[in-house]
Amino acid sequence: MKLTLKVWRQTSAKSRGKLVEYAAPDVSPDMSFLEMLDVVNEGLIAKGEEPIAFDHDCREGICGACSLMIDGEAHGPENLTTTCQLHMRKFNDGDTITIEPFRARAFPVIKDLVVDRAPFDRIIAAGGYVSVSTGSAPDGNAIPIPKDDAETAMDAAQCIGCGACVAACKNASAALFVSAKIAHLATLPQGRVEREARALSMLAQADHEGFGGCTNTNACEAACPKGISVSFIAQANREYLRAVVKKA
Amino acid sequence: MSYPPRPRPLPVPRRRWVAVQLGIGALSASIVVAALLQELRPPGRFTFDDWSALGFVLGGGLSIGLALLAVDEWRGGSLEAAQRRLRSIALAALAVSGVAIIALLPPFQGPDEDAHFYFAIGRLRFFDRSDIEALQSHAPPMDVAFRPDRKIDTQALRGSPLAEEKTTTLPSYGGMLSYPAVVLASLLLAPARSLSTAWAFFYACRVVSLGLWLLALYWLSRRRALPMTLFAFVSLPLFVQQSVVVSSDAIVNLGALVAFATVLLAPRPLTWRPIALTAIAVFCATTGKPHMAILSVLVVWLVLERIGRPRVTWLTVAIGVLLLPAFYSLALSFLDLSGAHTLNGAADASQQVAFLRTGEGLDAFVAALRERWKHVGFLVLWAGPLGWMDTPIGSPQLVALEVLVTTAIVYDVAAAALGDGLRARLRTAAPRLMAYAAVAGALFMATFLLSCLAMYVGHTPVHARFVQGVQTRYLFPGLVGLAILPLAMPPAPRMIGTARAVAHPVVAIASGLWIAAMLYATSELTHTLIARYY
Repeated sequence: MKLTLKVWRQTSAKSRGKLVEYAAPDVSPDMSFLEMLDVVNEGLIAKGEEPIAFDHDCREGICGACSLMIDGEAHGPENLTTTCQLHMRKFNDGDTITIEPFRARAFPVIKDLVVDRAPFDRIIAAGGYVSVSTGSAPDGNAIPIPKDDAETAMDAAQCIGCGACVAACKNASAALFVSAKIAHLATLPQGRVEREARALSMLAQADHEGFGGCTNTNACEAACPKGISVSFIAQANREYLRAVVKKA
Repeated sequence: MSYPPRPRPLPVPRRRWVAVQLGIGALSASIVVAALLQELRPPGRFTFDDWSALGFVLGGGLSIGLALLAVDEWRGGSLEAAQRRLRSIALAALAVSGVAIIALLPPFQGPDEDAHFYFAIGRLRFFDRSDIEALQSHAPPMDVAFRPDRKIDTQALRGSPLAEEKTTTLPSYGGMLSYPAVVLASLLLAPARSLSTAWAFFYACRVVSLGLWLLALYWLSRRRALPMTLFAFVSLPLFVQQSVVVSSDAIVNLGALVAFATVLLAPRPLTWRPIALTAIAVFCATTGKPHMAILSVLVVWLVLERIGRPRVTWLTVAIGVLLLPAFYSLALSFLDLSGAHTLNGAADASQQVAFLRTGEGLDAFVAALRERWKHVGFLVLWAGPLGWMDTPIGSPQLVALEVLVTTAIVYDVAAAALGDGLRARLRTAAPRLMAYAAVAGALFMATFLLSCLAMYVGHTPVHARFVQGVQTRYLFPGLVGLAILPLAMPPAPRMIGTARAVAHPVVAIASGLWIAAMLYATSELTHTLIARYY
């Protein structure tokens, strides 16, 4: 496959970036998107140019590190798929592909396609954990949990924190990410002990980081590689309401 | 002018006619009973499947319609009264579903309902004169223990580890407010300073929004026989849900309706009073949406018409429709009012503008527009992604809503076709009708194009295949222009003879179908809300 890439290049957080065009003449349809970028980078290094910086880690769709806007869509054109799991067979020979970093005020560009997603870490640090002693794995299995609750919690727990929801939202809202974390823990008995404080703290931290409010367009759910539902946003709102009423 | 005496509805004996109606009505009622019995089979819950729902709506509709017709025949009721009754039923249905939503829907179920509420509560504090100084110093002393909008209050977050760092200026509230609902609510209630008063304010916003909507429709229906299609559309539970819950969007639609109606219904020659009313209606609309600019063209239109320069008027309206909203939309995009993207260079609107300037960019935009246009006709998308809060609209519910709109369209077409002198009316009204059609069409297309352009420039990444962030409900003001179009026609003359005899049963059965479908849609709404939240 012969492709033309338009890649966002930005040398540092404070410099001004621009889209730069590159030719990718020898792309195999069996490559993943990141492997294609690896090949392009090898070519750039061979020519003595600066390689394109991009985030990646597990390359099996579970770490959430690979985060690119590909032709205007977070993680590219394939639904329920992360960038690392996206294969070049999804594109056509001769295509022009535009690659940008995730778009959000709260995710400042560090270099090229790499953005700072530390705000998500700080939101988790604000309350996305269980601090009570819940024992070891056998103790956990001894607690009866209704099937529906377990399924709901697992649905929410699928969030890998990649930030696609933020990048897809016109208001750069982190509502889907935060709500998935709140709902995941609030649905299980181990997480219910701290549910009020968690909802207050995590939502406050999300506001503090500069993420916008929910825009109700469902763009986050459409972009999410794990299919997290916006129902969790409403659930988080209810969790917040519960926390406020209990504290009032 | 004297009307001829009202003829018999059909050239058959009255008693036999009534007996036939009652017979068909009984048969229809038996279909309803069969549908209900089907529902009572184990597990015995009223979860209508497609067939029993259809049986309920069609059978019930026919039996109610024939019963209404029989009552009219018995009491000598007029066709005009039957038509007025149909609109009254639509208004009542709107009120019922609105009250059901207000009563059954807990707060903050829509993912962004809290944001709309805090905008409103922020504006409410603006009307509290004693707080103005505090607001101007960007430190509103709120003690309402709600989740605050990030622009309002961080002290309310008791237990939060955050320090007090964020303050924002008051003007940033301006774009998203629903002024009339909030002003009215603020007259009824003191500014919220505690949890209980905040709750009261919350529900007052819902009630006032619904009340304003009902009043506007009632007033318009008293002045003119509005097309049933318009009534059907705005009475749908999915639409009412928006009016009640997302008040700022409801108000822009209310403002649009009143503004359009004033322009079209104002007695000519114009006085300054309707111009002022239009200006107020336009002011009532929220200023943060691109389609707001289109409404402002109406004020310009009336002012120029009042001055008496018809050519200048039409030229200005034509140019204004194209330029003013374009300027407004693009200004909004570049200002990036939400501020959500401003620190990320890749999301700079100038990137998209530079891309648009290339032929490739323009092609991408046109392709994205086409993709968007394909979805304009989907009824469910007019509710936006709200659905019924976080619960998607089920297919039976959607079918009921489609039946409501289809019945109304059939009714309007039948009523127009049955009216005597239709050709003469069309001939008389042709110039006026064409002028209104041109303006309404231009407004709708401008609403569509500019909403898409604003979102494409401001929020859509380069080379995207679709326009991000456009919700079909943004097009409501444009749609209102089309819906009020029949008002350009002169009033229909009184129908006589066979046309009248056919029209009356059509109106009665349409009423019956409407009542049955609305009963079904409202019960489905209630069932969905109760099943989801209780």
